[in-house]
Amino acid sequence: MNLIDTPHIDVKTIIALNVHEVKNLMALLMFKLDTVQVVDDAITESRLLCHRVNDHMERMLLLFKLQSEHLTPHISDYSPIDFVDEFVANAQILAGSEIKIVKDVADAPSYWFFDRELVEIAMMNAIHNALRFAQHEIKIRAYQANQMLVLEVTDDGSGYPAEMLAAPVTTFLQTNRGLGLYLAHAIAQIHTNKNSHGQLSLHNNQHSHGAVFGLQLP
Amino acid sequence: MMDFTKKRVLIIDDSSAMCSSLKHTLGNLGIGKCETSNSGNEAIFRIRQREFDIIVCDYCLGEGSDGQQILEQLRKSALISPSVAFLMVTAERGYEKVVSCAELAPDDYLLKPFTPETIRLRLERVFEKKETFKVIYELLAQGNSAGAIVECDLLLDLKNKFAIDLIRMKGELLISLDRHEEARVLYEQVISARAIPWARIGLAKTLSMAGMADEAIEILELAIADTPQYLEAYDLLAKEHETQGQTALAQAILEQAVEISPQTLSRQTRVGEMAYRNGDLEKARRAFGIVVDQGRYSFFRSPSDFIRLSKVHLDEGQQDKALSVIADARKSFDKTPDFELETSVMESLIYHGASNREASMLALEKALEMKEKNGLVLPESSHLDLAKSCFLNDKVEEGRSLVKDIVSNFYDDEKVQGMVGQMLEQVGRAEESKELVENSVRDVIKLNNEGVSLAKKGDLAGAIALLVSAAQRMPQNVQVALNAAHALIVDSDRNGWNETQMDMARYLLREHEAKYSSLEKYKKINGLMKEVGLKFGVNIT
Repeated sequence: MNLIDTPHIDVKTIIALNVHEVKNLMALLMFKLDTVQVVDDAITESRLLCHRVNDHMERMLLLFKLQSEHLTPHISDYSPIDFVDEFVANAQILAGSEIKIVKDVADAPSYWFFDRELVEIAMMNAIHNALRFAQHEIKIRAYQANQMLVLEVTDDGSGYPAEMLAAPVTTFLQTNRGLGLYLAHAIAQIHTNKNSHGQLSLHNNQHSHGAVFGLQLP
Repeated sequence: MMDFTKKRVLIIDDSSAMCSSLKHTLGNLGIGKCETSNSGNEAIFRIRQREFDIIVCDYCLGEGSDGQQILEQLRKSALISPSVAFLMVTAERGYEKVVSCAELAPDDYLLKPFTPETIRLRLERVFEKKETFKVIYELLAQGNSAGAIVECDLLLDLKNKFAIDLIRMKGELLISLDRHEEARVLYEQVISARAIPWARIGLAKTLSMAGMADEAIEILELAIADTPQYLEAYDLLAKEHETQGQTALAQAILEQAVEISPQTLSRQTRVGEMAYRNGDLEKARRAFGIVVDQGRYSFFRSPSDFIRLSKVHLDEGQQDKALSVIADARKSFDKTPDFELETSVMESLIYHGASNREASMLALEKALEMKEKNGLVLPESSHLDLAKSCFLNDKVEEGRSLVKDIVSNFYDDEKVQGMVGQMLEQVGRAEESKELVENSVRDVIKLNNEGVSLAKKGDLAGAIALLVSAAQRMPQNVQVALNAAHALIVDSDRNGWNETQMDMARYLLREHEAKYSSLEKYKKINGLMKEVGLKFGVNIT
């Protein structure tokens, strides 16, 4: 019997390809679930689970991209108001009926330049985190300040722990909010205009408690 | 919420499962009339059958076809009107890269999976934008670009939410009307806030129009360094270098662009043409080969791609290959008179190369007969090939007359004159070249002067007869066309409105509008036409 040589395989790439495939299958599964007509708790919950699995897959793919190549944003002009509208609609699906997602776009500029898909991933991660701590409400806000578009996710929970606010970036991966914030930071950083680049800001709401996640895009 | 019930939708996806899921999602938005196609060609077939309001197309369609190609084909051939919403659906982030390289973007794109809410909001927005631009597109359809600019300004003053799109549109319109100074200011304003690639391209165009070629080149090089995926910059840069006579550099730049996006066949064709001009037969063969191979199953392939490839094979001394490409073309296309003529010209050259004099002569005679019988106007390269074949087959007089035609047609085009010189050299008539070209140019000038002097003497009918027939013989010759139009308009001015003649004048002017509308003489005669129109109460656009 001849032994078959095992060729060297690039495990990282193969994992990425498989994650990709799973993501495609998830997409199909979600579309399939959407075709189910009956209103049923199990179906609603399955949909929700699919969204969560999908968001995790997206995270993994993004992480892979960050590790293996230079992640270049695809910047185009979008209306922050439209972006928030759509984002709130989709976040509400994740939040279910317990938590209410509200928006505030009164001070949003009419257009801004950013990578819609990447910013959505960063924001969706913030929603996943906020949902774990929010009591009743999560607020999405878009406004312009100091030549930056600021996109904020504010929950009404107990806020970020003090040690995290002291040195956010280094603590990112050691907290249970971990990966999502790490990616949000990376996404903010690759948004550049002229000499400034994007920032991730984390702070606690001064009046009520609650954590404020903010993306500042130049 | 927008009412989608009357919208007709076409879904294009190679997976039937995806098609039916999407159909269901769209059904939930109230859309009743929804058709599906599993392939690009089937979709184009359906679109030719009836009109749709919304097209939802998957980017990845399998078997060498993708959604971007379909989009470009549909928009470029005007198979779908600007009012049709085209949404691209994609499984991965990679499409953003494609769309940022492409000349044509879909109205929006969606990453799978997406919720019904997302597609609803996106569609609403697309239609909201189309509604905003409706008046502008209507004005443009009437040829009223200046009016469209006024409308853009009006909307911009109202702080319209599509401000950035309006600015972009305004810039393009200003450029199309040769108002490059205004356009430059506009683009500089945009760039001062953010160096968006399209604004840089626009700025480079205005600089080039103002004769500041070096500054234009600098801006384009900057754009390529910052956003190497934005391909329009390469096209423009290549053109600038070509104008400066740097054809090797132009070829290298186009090759870089093709490297980034090999799917865009029109650019492959340009690479092939440039390489052929530079005598780089290997690159030319490769480029035309790709165009012929990849365009094979497309609705929009063209026989000229086959002719070009065949020509490269012939120049490389591969008569068998050259002939088989022509045979392939014969199998693939309808045999219109134009097609028969062009393929016969090629065959006569190939047979001559293979020392089959008899077959060469036969093909040449067929070509000459086709031209005579159908009164065809050939593209300049085929026209030259026909002349070449005449010289090779000892039909010297026919050859000379063909060369004369082409030189008088392109009397101010150095590129074409260079091609003529090259051809005459190849057939061993280099010494005739100068005289032939000079004579032809002199004849055109003489004819032009004769026409003008007839008109001055008051013999407008004589001038018109002479100049209009000359304009028809040399459709590319702008001087002849302008003089003919002038005589036609003056005739109406003096002797009363003549509908047929004014139509002819308008046609002659519009044929040259794209290239020569900034010419002083063009502006003067165009203005006169409008004046005369007003005098008789006719609004000429």
